Amino acid sequence: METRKDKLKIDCDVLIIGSGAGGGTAARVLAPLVQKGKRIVVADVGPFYTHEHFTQRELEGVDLLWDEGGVFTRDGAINIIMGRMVGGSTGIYTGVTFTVPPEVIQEWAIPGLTYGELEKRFARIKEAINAHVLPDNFVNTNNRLFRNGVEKLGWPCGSIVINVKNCQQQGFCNLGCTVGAKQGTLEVEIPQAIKAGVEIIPNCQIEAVGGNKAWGNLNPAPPDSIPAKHAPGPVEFSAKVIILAGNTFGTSGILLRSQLPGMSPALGGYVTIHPSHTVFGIHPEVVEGFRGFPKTYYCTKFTESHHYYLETCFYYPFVAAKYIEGWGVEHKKIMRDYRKFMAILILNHDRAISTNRIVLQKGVPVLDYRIQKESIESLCHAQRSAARVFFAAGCDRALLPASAKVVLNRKDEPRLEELIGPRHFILNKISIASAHPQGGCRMGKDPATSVTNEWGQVHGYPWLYVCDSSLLPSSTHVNPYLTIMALAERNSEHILETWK
Amino acid sequence: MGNQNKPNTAFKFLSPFRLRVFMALAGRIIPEDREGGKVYPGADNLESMAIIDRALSTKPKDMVLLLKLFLMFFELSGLLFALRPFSWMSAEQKDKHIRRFELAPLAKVRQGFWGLKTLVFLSYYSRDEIWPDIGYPGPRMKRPHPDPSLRALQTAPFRPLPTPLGGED
Repeated sequence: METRKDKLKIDCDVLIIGSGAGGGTAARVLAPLVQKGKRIVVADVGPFYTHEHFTQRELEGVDLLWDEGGVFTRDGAINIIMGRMVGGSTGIYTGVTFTVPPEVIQEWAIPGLTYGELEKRFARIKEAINAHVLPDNFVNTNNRLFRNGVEKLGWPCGSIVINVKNCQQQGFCNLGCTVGAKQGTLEVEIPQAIKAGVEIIPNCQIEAVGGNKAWGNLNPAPPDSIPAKHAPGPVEFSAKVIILAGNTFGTSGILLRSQLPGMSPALGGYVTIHPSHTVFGIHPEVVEGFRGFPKTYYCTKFTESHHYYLETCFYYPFVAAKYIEGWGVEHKKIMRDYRKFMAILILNHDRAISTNRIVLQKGVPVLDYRIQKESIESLCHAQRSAARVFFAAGCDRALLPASAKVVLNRKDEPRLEELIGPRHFILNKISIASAHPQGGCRMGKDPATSVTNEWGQVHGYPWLYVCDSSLLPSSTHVNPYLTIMALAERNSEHILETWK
Repeated sequence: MGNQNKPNTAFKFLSPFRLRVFMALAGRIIPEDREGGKVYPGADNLESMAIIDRALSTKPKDMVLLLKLFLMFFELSGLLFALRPFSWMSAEQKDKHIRRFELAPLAKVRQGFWGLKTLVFLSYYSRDEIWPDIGYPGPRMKRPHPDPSLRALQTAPFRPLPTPLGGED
């Protein structure tokens, strides 16, 4: 399709910018307006791939990520992984559908937002996306070893609720589900919205909003993706309501670039990311964690006391190599035991502070985030806990990034306090990742400390809403997918109820 | 050797200078080794370099410029410590130089090294030929990619190195 030079003007009633967990849910809730003659458009910066596109290969999966996986905090210390496609990050997550702890909602103190109300939404959404605890035949060796290790230590082991249907246990959830079993936004909300008449415009980069308008550029569709029906080129949307759902980076970036008068000083601020490590143990027997469903158990033993969760996980050779400290022959020999790797994901729930914020750098949203001392201590404590789980599960070696030694042996277990600690936690040397950026456009009552009101409506801008992870005033503690959907549903229902 | 060993992918980022530095670095990050009578190849091969070149060719210009400068700094700073550029050093000197960068007091230097190391891991462990050595059977579903050249980078077998290395500067 040839590129246009003239500006394409699209008039609609609702423009939703972003199609991940938040934007997809907003499209699903607002879709009935189409039957009343209203036009709803979803514009997403990413391409529209179907699950037929996914190939289970790491190198080919990078085009599903923002900057091909190359997004970092401004100090370069933490790698932020986010999906960049129709369906957003739900295209590359594992289907984890955690319910936010009630104390988080109490801490938010959003007027009218009660845990009781959210609980009903969680139940309804979970049913719609087939979220359930997986049966025993889904528990692969890596998960079984985790449960054995955690239970041997006397720690609680919970089952993760996962939203899959007809899952074939191929084991490549994080590279996109090749069979469409994962009931994320790409498979559930987007098809529902399209069926109801909602128009999807992929590859559409929105630069700014203002006065019921949005401006941007429609880029060419990459091969193997569903193109927009419009030719590439500049685009201007006019809409009665604009919903921002481009995640912490995208939504905060659009609002910062828009320079709307009277915007809250909280814009871009209070970002939390769940700094995380993937750590490995080496078992004497073959584990083959890359086979079967990667994630079925978690442990909350230190959630209240030290602010982290331990979850099962598994990753493919390149990502595994990246998370293991060191290089040279020693690292290469460790990788030769890849089939015997046992893997644990550590998630720290970091504190929301105003200075951890999205800023613009040459017009591009960048996260200016300094990991706090308490998060480093938490992650070190979590590494010691993971080591104990590995040894309790029968591993004879453990690979922890903040350790004095690349490889810890079983005989090192009594010295974990001495061997793993903040003095070995060297930023920009060890790999830290985040897949859960939250905040930047936090909800609240006071425009001095929040960007939107209790319905996600931007303070002072009745036509402008936010329906994504950027709303969250502080960390959800757990994977935020379900919370984002519930808030997006709540905000979208408010739009429907107040539609004139 | 003739043309048969020249890479079929024209390098965009890896000039002869940068290719030499990257090859030298890759050969220490993932060196060739032997165990139980078997030789395990290192990452200092053109097929891995082709993956690095491709990965960098899609990055923003300012990021690529920074990487070019960092690579030059990495190579030439060897003159300060060992009186020779990194790629001219002995294996022992190279390892010492790498450790200097990995544990540098400046976060930006550590970050630069982390980036180079990660690229070497990507270039090596995303190749099919390596997977049997680590017991990874690869994808369960055989599905084509819309860009056959990207798939070819992963599936092409190792070949002997040509001389001289690299394309145009």
